[in-house]
Amino acid sequence: MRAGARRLVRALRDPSSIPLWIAAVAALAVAVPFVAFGGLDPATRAPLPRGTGDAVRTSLYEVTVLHAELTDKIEEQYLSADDGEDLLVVTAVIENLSDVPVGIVQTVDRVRSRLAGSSTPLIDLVGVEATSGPSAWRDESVAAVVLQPRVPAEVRIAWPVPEGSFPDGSVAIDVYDAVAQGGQVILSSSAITWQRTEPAARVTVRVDP
Amino acid sequence: MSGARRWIAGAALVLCAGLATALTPPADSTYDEFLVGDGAAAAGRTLSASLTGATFARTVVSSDGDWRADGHWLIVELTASAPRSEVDAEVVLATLHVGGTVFQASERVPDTLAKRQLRVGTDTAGVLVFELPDDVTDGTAQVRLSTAYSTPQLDDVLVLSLPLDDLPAASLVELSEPMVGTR
Repeated sequence: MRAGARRLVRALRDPSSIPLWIAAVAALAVAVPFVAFGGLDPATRAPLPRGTGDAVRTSLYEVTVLHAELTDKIEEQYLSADDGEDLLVVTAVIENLSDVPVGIVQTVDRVRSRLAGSSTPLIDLVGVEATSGPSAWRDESVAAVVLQPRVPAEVRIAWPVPEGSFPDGSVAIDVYDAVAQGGQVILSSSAITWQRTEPAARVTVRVDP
Repeated sequence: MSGARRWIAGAALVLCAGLATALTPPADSTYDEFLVGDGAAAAGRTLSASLTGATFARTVVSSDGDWRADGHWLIVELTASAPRSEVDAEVVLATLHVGGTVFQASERVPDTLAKRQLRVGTDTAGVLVFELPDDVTDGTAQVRLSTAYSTPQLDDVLVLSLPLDDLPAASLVELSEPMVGTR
């Protein structure tokens, strides 16, 4: 046993084992920083907490929530809340970081961005179930909002929600990152869908009554 | 055939197969739109149009003065008509392709040529207005026009080329309603 250990030490001190030492040092030089900088941490990350006026940048768009309020009627958009419901109106600046125009609720040309109003929206209310689909508009809107590439737009999005949905006076909105996917099965390959991936941030905003 | 030659021939065949795969257009491209025209004027199955001018502007005002907006605007002046039929003869999808980026004629702006009924044999003169990021000021752009809500399949899309380099820049542009019959 002791003879074996002595032989091992002698082998390691032998000049012919220098390449082995170099390889071991090189492997450690890679492995130690990898572990030290969080390489073995779990891959999921919690959404960053954000507030009013903070920009949340994802790979395809940037959103800054400015204001949220509850109302029961928006005359210029012919929107009104049903009995027992309120309209949650969120004002936000959204910038489209992709290179094609996209909509918020609607499909624009061949791109389904699904920012709001789909089963997996990129801008999603937390803990509140909207009673029907949202609407989005700008101040002067007569047609569906089109977000031009790299032109920030101030828009309003209204969700019909049950009355008393925000007992603590604030709303949390999850903003998801997304990837642009081409070639859905049914549509042609030139159609693009923004597929949501990880939550990028959770924006908490005071709701004005 | 010696061993080396066999390997070289095999590698050449693999390269050829890769090249053929790379050059084969996707199956969906058999349904692509037809791009018609590459100058200042173009005529297709459902539309004919020609560019008559273009201006950058910081502020755009509607003809009645009720609406105005600041930004980096490109106002494209053009005349358009219907070549054969007035049914659905209107510019619905108007896009600006510049440097790999696509913009759509702004839905914010009133008094544009978009969604106006066009006439057979008589030009309608009007504008399309694009809201752009500040850095889009040069290069050659393409204005693409079609009568469908989304880029059509197996139908004409007009392509008008528009050099942006020497366009005039105005601080304010007042829009006017499209006019039928300018000839």
